[in-house]
Amino acid sequence: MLSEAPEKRKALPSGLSGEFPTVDARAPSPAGSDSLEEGGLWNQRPPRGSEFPAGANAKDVLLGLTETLGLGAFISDSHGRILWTNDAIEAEFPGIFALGRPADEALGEAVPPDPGLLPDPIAEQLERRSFGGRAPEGALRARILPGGEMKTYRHHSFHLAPASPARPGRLAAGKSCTVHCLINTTPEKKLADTYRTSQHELSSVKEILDILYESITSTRDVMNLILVAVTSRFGFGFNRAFFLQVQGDLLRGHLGIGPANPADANRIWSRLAESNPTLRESLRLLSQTGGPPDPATAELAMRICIPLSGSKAAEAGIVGAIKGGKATLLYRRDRLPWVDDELFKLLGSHALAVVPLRIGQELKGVLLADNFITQKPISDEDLGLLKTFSGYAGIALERSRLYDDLRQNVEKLQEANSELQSNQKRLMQAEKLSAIGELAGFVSHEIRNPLVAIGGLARSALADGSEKPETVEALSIIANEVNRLERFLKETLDFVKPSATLADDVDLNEVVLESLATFREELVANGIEAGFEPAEEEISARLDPHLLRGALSNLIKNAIEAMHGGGRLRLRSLQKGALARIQVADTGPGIPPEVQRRIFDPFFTTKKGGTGLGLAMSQQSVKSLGGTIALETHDDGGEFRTEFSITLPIGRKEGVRQ
Amino acid sequence: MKRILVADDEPSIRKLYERELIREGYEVHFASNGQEAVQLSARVHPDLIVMDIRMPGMDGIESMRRIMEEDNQIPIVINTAYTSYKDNFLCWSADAYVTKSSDLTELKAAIRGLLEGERSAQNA
Repeated sequence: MLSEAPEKRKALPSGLSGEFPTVDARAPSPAGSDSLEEGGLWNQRPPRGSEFPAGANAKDVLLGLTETLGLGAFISDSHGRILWTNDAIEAEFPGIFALGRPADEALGEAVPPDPGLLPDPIAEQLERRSFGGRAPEGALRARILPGGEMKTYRHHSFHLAPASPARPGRLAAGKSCTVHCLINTTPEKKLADTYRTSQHELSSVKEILDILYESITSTRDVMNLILVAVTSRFGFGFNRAFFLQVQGDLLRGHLGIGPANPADANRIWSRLAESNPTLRESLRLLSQTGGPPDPATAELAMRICIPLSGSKAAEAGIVGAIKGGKATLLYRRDRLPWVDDELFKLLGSHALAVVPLRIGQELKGVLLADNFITQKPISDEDLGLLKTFSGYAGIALERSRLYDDLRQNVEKLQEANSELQSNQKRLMQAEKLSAIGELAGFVSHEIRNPLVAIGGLARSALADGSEKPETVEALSIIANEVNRLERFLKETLDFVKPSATLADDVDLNEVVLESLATFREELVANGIEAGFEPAEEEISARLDPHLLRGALSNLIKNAIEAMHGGGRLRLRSLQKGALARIQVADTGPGIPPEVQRRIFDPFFTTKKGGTGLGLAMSQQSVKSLGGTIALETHDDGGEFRTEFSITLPIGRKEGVRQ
Repeated sequence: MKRILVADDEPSIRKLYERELIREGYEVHFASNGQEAVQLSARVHPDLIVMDIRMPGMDGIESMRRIMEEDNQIPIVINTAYTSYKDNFLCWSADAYVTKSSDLTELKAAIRGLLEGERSAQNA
């Protein structure tokens, strides 16, 4: 066992080797030579007096000290082998020499590498918690005991060398050594709890940050998330939290979460205790319900208003804290600046954590948190965690604001785009019509000239007075057919480009009667009973009667075509001030909505062989007269289901020229 | 006998107008474009001109303008297959605007009316 020591020594991690004496200038003595049995330093009776004072005294002094103070102590030789341990090692630091073996079994073995050595930052944090910021020197080690309890201790080591160079012979056996002193720094359970709490807090903060970052949501959702994180027992566990927004020179309450009174708290917290939701579940619930979870507290939040600019005195309290940009704990007391006083009165809290949320130097908002119900003091740790959180919360807020902006801009763009598209459609429609118009004009002209010659010459030949009835018939047919073609062309051309209007003084009732009269035969043939109910007075107007006749004729024609099996056609005229109205109603089956929308579109038709120009021309003509045309359908079970009405201005106006 | 000058580039139309206007008792002269119409007008001094608009070379409107520079008393009837020229203000200086049709009743009525009006104006 002893012979294996040098190998074990070599097995020590190089980082630890510095803690053990390696300064012995002489070559290491043979294995066993400095063992206890062979008269190693500590079992030797000190040779008298001051011959070897350091070693002798050290052992006695160490024994006395460690027993009095309850320190653990052991001594290792220059090879790092354990020479001696005290009783406290066994009692206070069970298993310190690894593998759970009693200390005396470890004698003669190398000091094992200590897995409990903690990295400096964590060590310091633990130190500050347990020693109020005064960290004792020495390497801090921690050990989790089998029961899950954690022990921490300081490991001090100091090197002892022979005190008397005058007696080098006694040292030839290699008696330089290292004294290890272990100070238990575990305030037992308290420290263990703190450690566990901080672990829990760290994981909560991590979860909150994860949630903050994984969801791109609206600003309002982020605010809710922040407040839930502050109040959730899985978060920072405050009773209440408020979010304030900057509005010019004011800070205004925007959102609030938490119970409004002890009864409310009892209700909410017992419910939470039953459902025991995780942070994520709470947040999901919140976004599902939409409205504020605690309306009374949300309302209270809306009443918070803090002026950021003001007297110098105000800067002493919350305003100064916010401007200073640091998380601050404010207490309710006498002679506060009025702003603080008002705020404490409004919220009813005794202590208030004030956490400014900033991006760079810019204040984005302020978080207020208190333990209004439980009156639990707000610790520095609580405030510190809030402060850490506030940095991330500020960034998340800024991100959501940018996201909101982006979404609004996208919406605006989409609106503009759809408007553009509908304009484009209208433009295309106009272009299409214009192209059709040009084409129609060209074709019409090219056809009309030959038609004039054909029909004209046929008439001319007829006028010559042929004797043969066959010739007369043939020429008549040619003349009539050409006439029909010319009428068709006139319809097309007149639609494309309305002729100049010739205003005349007319009685509208007469124009209606004239228009109706031209359909007498067709009405009879279709079994349609037509009636005209004229206004009592003559409706005199100055307009081009041809245009109005054209418009009315197309409406009447349309009505007749809608009543195959007979029916009734009703025309009415009315006058109201400077407006006249002519209505054409029929008892046909009515017009379906999808047809109604397009009924005035040129070239739109539901009739086999229809040109789709009739109603479009009516509209064009009425427009030329400065009027409007409208379609109404009546589904109320009345007899007249479809009614077109033409409304015309009949003031003393010169005729509208086109 | 009243003298009428017809300007039209289509031979068939000229043929038709020749038959029908002679039947009405007029002396008829023909031009097949605006240039010819200006020259002929200066030579034969017609009592009335029937003018097509779309013609190769000089069109009816330009021709009418030149003729009226020489004699703004001469009645001119615009006679075209297009209705759209009614909007052209140059046409407003014409005395009548008749859209071409195989039925010449309207044209004949316009000619007669203008010639009679001229006569009554002269008589007055």
